[in-house]
Amino acid sequence: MIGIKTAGQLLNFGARMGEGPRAEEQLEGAVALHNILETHGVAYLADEVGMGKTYVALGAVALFRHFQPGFRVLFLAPRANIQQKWMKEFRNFVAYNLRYPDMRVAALDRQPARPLVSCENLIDFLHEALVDHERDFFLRLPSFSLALGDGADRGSWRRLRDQLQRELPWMPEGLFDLRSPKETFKENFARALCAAIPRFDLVVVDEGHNLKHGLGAGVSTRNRLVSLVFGRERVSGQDVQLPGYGPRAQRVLFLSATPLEESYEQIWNQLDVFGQGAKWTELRSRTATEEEKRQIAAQFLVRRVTSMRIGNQEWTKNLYRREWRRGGVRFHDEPLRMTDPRQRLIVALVQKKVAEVLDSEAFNMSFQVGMLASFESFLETAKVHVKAGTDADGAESTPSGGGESGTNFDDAEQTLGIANDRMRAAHREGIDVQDLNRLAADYRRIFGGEMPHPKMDGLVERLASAWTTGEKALVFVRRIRSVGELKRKLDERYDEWLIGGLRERLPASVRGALEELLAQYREEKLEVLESRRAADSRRAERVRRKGPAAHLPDPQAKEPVEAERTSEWDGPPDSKERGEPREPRDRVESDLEVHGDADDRGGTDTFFAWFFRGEGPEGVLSGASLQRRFLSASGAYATFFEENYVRYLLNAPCGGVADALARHLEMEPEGLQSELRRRASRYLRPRDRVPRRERMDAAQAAALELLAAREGELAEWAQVIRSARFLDTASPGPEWSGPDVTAGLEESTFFSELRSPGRAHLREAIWPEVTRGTISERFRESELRAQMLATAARLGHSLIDLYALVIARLDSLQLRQQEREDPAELIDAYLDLLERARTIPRDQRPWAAFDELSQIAQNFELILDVNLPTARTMPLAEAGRTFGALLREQQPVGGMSGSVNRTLVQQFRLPGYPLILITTDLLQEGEDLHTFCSAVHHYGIAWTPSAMEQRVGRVDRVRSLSDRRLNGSESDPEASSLLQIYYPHLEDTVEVLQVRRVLTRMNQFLRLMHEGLSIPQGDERRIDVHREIIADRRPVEAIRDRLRTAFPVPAWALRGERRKLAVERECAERIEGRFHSLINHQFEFPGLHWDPRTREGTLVGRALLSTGRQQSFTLRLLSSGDHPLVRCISPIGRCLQPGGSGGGADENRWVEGADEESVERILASARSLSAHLGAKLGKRPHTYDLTVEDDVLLGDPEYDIERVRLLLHRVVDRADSLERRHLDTDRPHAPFADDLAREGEAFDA
Amino acid sequence: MPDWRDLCRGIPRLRLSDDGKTVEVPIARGRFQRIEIRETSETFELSGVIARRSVLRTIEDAALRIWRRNRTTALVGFRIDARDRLVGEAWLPKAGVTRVEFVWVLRHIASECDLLEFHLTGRDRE
Repeated sequence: MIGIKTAGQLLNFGARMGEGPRAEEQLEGAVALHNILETHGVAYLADEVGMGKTYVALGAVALFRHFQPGFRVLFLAPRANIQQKWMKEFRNFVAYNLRYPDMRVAALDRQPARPLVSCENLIDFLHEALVDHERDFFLRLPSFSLALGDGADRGSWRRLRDQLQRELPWMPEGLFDLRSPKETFKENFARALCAAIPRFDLVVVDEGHNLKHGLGAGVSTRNRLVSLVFGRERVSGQDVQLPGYGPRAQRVLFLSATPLEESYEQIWNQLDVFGQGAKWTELRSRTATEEEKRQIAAQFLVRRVTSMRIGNQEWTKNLYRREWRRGGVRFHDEPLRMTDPRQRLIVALVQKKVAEVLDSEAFNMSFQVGMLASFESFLETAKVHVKAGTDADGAESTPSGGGESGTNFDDAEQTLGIANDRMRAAHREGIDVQDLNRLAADYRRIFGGEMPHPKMDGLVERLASAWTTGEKALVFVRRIRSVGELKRKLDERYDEWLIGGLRERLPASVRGALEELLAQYREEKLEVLESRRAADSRRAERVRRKGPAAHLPDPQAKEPVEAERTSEWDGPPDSKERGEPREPRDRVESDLEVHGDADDRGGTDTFFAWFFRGEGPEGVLSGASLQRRFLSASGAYATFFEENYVRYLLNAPCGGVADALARHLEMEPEGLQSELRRRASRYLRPRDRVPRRERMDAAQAAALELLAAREGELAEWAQVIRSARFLDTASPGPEWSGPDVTAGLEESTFFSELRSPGRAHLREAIWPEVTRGTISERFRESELRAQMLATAARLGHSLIDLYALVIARLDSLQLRQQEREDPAELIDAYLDLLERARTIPRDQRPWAAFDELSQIAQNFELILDVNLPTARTMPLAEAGRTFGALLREQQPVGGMSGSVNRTLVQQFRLPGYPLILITTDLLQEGEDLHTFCSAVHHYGIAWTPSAMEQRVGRVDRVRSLSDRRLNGSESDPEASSLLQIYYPHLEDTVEVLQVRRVLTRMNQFLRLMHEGLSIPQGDERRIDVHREIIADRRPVEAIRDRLRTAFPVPAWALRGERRKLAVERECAERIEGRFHSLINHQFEFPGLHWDPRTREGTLVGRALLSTGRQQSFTLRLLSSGDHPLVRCISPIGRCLQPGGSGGGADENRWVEGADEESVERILASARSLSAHLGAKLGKRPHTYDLTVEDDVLLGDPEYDIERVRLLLHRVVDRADSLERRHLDTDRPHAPFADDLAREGEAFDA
Repeated sequence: MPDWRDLCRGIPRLRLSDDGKTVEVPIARGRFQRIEIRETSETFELSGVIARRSVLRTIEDAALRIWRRNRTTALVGFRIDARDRLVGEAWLPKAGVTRVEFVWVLRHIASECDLLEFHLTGRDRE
């Protein structure tokens, strides 16, 4: 047991969100979980959404591991995206929330001390566990579904069996009889897995409520397989065949903000899946009172209430959330208005049709919550064949939440209780769909347009202000088609705004050309739409015919890509055939690849996509063409977003940098020019004409070399910049008489001008000076900020301002006109434009480039934390590519269903596009969308309160926009700055019945979790119109009392006897000091050169051997139990030819095979050498794939040098010997250096 | 110079062989792993046999498996020796070696060899 004080010496939850009650609360949570797990073997963290349950759980894990370095942990996430999120958060936690690297949880370089392993499926898990079980494993729940086909040949069964037997050759074949029942086959597979995996000291189950139905009859096989893999049951008769089968989860930690829906039994069910239920059977007792059950649950279940401190008051979530329960989206607490008589008539007509359907004998005046199509749209509903994310198990082959092919709604699992197949199918389609489709077709035939839908139109009207306010909104729908329909309508509104703005801002002289372009855009868009409609009609026709292949792609489709696309919002639209690529494209293609945004294909969704992204229209200076020019190495804009480092270091005026450099170096100008030319030539490829940016880079690199050779802080800065930016670009080739590069020192760039004193306020707003850390850390952060700023400025909403400015200055849309531009003048004009926006209050002007860039700057840390934590350590060039890849293909409105679009999710966590994200329940759980969004629209309502709560939880989180805006503010906030929750619906329709039902249940859920009451059980997913229509019709008000928890942290769980940490900060620092002092020694080599690519816990070097040969190596400081340990890795080279089976499940991942001949040759070379070979395999190509590796323990410091000497010779001599024998070469150090420096880094996986 | 037999002395359930070249290290449930210990002028070299040629021949991609394992396993390395046996190996410098270190490495190699043997052959381990 651990106490708060001791834990606080190791954990620092305030590192990123600031010290204060929240950080203290998280620390308490971590300690309590640790102690509850130690006492009971099970704990349940049920904190409200957004309180940082992940971090609290990681805190508990860290406490265990700090005191027990061998502590094994497995994380079970509900979905693939959340699995990745856990790994990201784990790295963040280790990097920031441990007070110091203790070498047990955090290695010295602030990476996790144990490697993290992401398992794509159960076979992958098995393989990885067999390779090395002393790592942290991340699995996902759908992998346990183990989808096996029903084909007669049982191909998928056979594959699974073969894969298993390849991993476990001793597994008895009889266990996997292909003729056995499917369930038996699956269960034996799970038992076999259990037998082979290690026992985990802790299993962390995220969103544990997914297991709330436990192992009862009729419950998914998935839960049973989880229970078998973790050895819940002892299997009589199997023991002989399966040695080692038994419990695999010594402790289990469940996490969920919504641990139960209706009764405490659902909590017991979750415990039971892992064999932890025996001690808590009272939770399912029929005789125990609810209060008794609450007291039992409170022994291991902890729930804290989220709150904000506003104006000296604690505001719980029901107080800082502003709910729009009456249905309106324009005025709070008012219903949606229908002012247009035609709208009213249409709604009345649809209601009549719905009433007729409900009144039919089949439906008996009832429907499933959220599953009437007319609540969301009056358009025709053709069945959607949803493309789903799959893993190698095939387990995620259905849409999120249990929806399935053939349903028009997401989360259609609520219909599982309907026994009659025909009725279930009708509800999944939407019982009003067929009538609605007939009405919509008639309406279009008679009136030539679409039936207006007041709710959809009202929401679109509300959201269409986003481009001028920059406010983000998250919209949840149930009907899958609604995603595309809402997006299309919003895209149209966006086009109106963008085109109107361009007409206004571009000079009169280009308006004619602009109108021609608009006509071209509309024509192309129409073609695409018609093609989509045709494909939809054909698909709908096939569905109507109910042919066996109704959901398969249309074989007659003229455009297979379009026809097979599952929706128009799925990804980059059409690839535009517009003739040969133009000159600029050829020239900048490689630059685009360098910047990570090469494959943006634009599209016709919006004018922005067509004109500002991808290739853009031919023959004109489009936004797309302009943004590509910023990446080109030559031309007027080539150095626009570069940085003139030398000018900055010398604090010299533009035009006076070379003189200042000569003075600083005490050289004659001619001598300097010649020296620069000589040095710069090593950074340039010999050719006749050197592009502008390359010339500038070479000049900078050469000048930095000269500056770095002096003494003092300036030299230190020069060395840091040179190492980080230019070291890799130096070529070891022969020198050539390159061009004079002095002009490259005088370039005026966006960032060098932003540094000028007159721009101080603007700089503070968009590129604030980094003042914390070492010179290296300061430079790195400043450079990362500059890279992200430049990328945002040329790829998103900000590009519109820059484009309008450029065209206004050129007064032309002709491509060639760009070269007339004076870059220095354009930089000034652009900075003036940003400065003007800065000085005009936000409410007096539309949201603009300045706002996007300043939001990025002011929240840069948060942005990296949530999107790109590894950017902090990856090479700068790679970080630039990563930012480019993140910000490419921006769209003002994003839509998602079927499978998660990672880029769109990450972009939504940034300022700028997408401003609106429309999604099915796909994003309901786990995904953080809170950083710049504080509005949620439940356009299609979910049927459980927990689902509704999970949805809001995406934006109601620690460090969310609302949190940053409200928490700690002095006075009561404006209503508009609260977190806005909308329930758009029409009061005069039956939809109001379902909204009322769900709101009532949400209130009940709050009471249950906060007062310990349970909800009366019943069929809550179904609405009985007869009963509900005559029930109390008053609006369901939100609970306005401050919330209190029914499950506080038990006092005993915060007390512990441990007073001292296992590894103190000083101890870790001492060991690190010993390690880094190794560079002062030669270790009896004729020569030993240390590489500058050194970082905490890693040294890279090159040894010259007595044979005259050389051998590279890296030393890493690790630990084994309580012992510090040094690992030496020395590369042999690329020896493993791809090929062979490799033994894995995922063919893409298993670049890991090697052909037998390669392996045999290596074995023959290595047989007589006692060398431990390492195969470095994976997706990313490396400069070596075979190594020699070994370790030595560090003991008394007195023996460090002697021990490392032995280690180095042991490894380096053997690696060199193998290189000579096997490859007959002696490769130099340079090619290996980067990969050696990155050994063990997270992004190198 | 330290004598490794002295370093082993007094460790419960550790059994030294009569010829003084090997030691049997207890793993679990009464099972032992036999570890051979050789000396050089500067090091103790520890090794244990995991699978002989006949067993190794039945295992697909055995070499690649162990080379990948070597990337992640600390203190212990695996290789196929000149007699086509799969062996686990560890070493300690004599300089400054302590009893705690020696026993740590000894137990480590024993349990890693035992585990790999289980993974490859299914022999009971717990």
